[in-house]
Amino acid sequence: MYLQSLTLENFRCYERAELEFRPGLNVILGPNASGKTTLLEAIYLLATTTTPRGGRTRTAVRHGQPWGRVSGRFAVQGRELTLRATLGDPSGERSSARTLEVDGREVASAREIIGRIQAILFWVGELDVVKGAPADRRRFLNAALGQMSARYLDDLQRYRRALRQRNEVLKSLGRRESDGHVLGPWTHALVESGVPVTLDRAAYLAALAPEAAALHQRLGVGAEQLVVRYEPSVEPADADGELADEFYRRLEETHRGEVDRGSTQVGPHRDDMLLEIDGVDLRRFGSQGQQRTAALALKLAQARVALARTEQQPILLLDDCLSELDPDRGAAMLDLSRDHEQMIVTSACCPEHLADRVADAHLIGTGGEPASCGGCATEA
Amino acid sequence: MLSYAGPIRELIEQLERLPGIGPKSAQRLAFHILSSGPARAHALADAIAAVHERIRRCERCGNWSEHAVCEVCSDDRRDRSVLCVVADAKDLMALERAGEFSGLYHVLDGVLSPVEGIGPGGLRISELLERVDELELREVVLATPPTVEGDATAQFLSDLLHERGPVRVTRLALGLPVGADLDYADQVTVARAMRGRTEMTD
Ligand SMILES: Nc1ncnc2c1ncn2[C@@H]1O[C@H](COP(=O)(O)OP(=O)(O)OP(=O)(O)O)[C@@H](O)[C@H]1O
Ligand SMILES: [Mg+2]
Ligand SMILES: [Zn+2]
Repeated sequence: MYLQSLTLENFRCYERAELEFRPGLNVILGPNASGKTTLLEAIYLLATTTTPRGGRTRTAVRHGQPWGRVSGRFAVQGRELTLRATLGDPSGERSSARTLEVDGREVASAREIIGRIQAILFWVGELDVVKGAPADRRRFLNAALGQMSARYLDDLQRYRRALRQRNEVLKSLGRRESDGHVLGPWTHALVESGVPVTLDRAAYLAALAPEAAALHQRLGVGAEQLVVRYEPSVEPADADGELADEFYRRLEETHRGEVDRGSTQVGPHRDDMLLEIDGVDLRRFGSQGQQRTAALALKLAQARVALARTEQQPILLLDDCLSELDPDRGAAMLDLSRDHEQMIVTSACCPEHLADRVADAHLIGTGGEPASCGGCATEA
Repeated sequence: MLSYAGPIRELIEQLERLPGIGPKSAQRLAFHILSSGPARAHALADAIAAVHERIRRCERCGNWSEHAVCEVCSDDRRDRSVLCVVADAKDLMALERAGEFSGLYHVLDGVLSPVEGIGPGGLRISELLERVDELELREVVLATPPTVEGDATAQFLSDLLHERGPVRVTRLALGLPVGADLDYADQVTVARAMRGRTEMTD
């Protein structure tokens, strides 16, 4: 699948713009604040009906306007598909309204659009999975697993509720307002939902790790070996150990501390994911380029695992990826376009050193100037 | 700004306190009541007053009833050796509509939820234990909703009942859609769940 053309009306800094895209590599070039990320955001919006910047989609409406709109014409296995999202309401009445259309026909729910176009967006927010807190890595796991399994989301939700309720009981135990026998049912609920969450995460990371390592090998250009490993809060001591038994044992072991602190000390809410290159912890000691390469490998591996069964390759959207990468890594990244029917990258500066890679690319300028900063193959 | 005449405002405010009714719906209902004439308005007011004058809690099971003892509890044909514990009277009605269960009920008045300050003391648990002692029970069916809180409540009751002596404790939850309220679950599903109840051990 690939994007053929994109039209923006009153979307962020764009009043009105119409842009053509081509299969293969597309490079969006322009100075800072010229609307490069906004273009990727618009494509992502059509694919997922949400904005990667978080929050409500209506914040993307151009300031001072009552509504905004994005339309995209795609080619999916030789057929044309037009998606359109209107944010707000031209009459100005229902500013929170959102209208979604497929081939000119309005659809009642976002579910009718999501999944028609698959797009992977890699932007600055994705770096958190490497350099952020454990909570950021759990968010990555939850999003990846949640996309594939409704049951996982249900277990996770139950776990969170059990945890909240249990912590409340722990607090009242600390204040000596209730006695121990009221804790039992919540401990049971915690273990019952926590066990499948842990097992799902372990199985997922076992599938993700080799994919991520292989992708990283290509992106990191050879030598560096990326190790991705689950660091569960609760793990059976040996292979035959029952996870539930171990969970109960660890809860008992930490009981005094949990009453003192008024919160459960062990469980999936304390999980993390190890990221390592040659024995060095990337989360704390990785260079910017290493962190970026690893984060991109994880993101692409996530898509590979999720889409293992669909033969369609998603559109790859990479925001501002070249800036921290040396020429070899930059070239390796642009070469990913060979795996995808379409790849759209943004850059604030013309990648002069990658002239051979972008020679055949479709250049799109956002600065009003010709799409070039003088250094590279303008004739493309 | 023009505001509504006193009695209309009062009615709107009263309606707004009902669950699921926002200011707009309250306004719409108030004007509907106003324009539908005095006869229908009185019928509605009488019905509202009557539920409080004529309906009370059954002194045995806690179900809503016109008499001191409810229809189920006073029905000789019911099996007095099986007791089904439900969170509230709505769930009791849902089970009755399915027509699969012929034993007695006990209404807990909610489920455990420490976050909302609902502990064992806030539910009709001591009443339950008294009845378990009085009745010669073969089985207690725990039919609290299949939510985290409903499950934890069932677990709590199961532990409590097992401590007190040998009684068969089963859990009704199987086959219910995730997060379903008994009230909304269709009758076939409820019936299937009633047949497929599972033993609870500690
Ligand atoms: N709702 C909005 N209405 C109007 N302008 C907006 C709105 N939201 C963002 N902008 C502006 O749009 C401009 C383009 O933002 P965008 O992030 O797309 O730039 P960019 O080309 O990716 O820049 P950089 O190279 O710095 O990443 C910015 O000046 C921003 O302030
Ligand atoms: Mg940008
Ligand atoms: Zn009764």
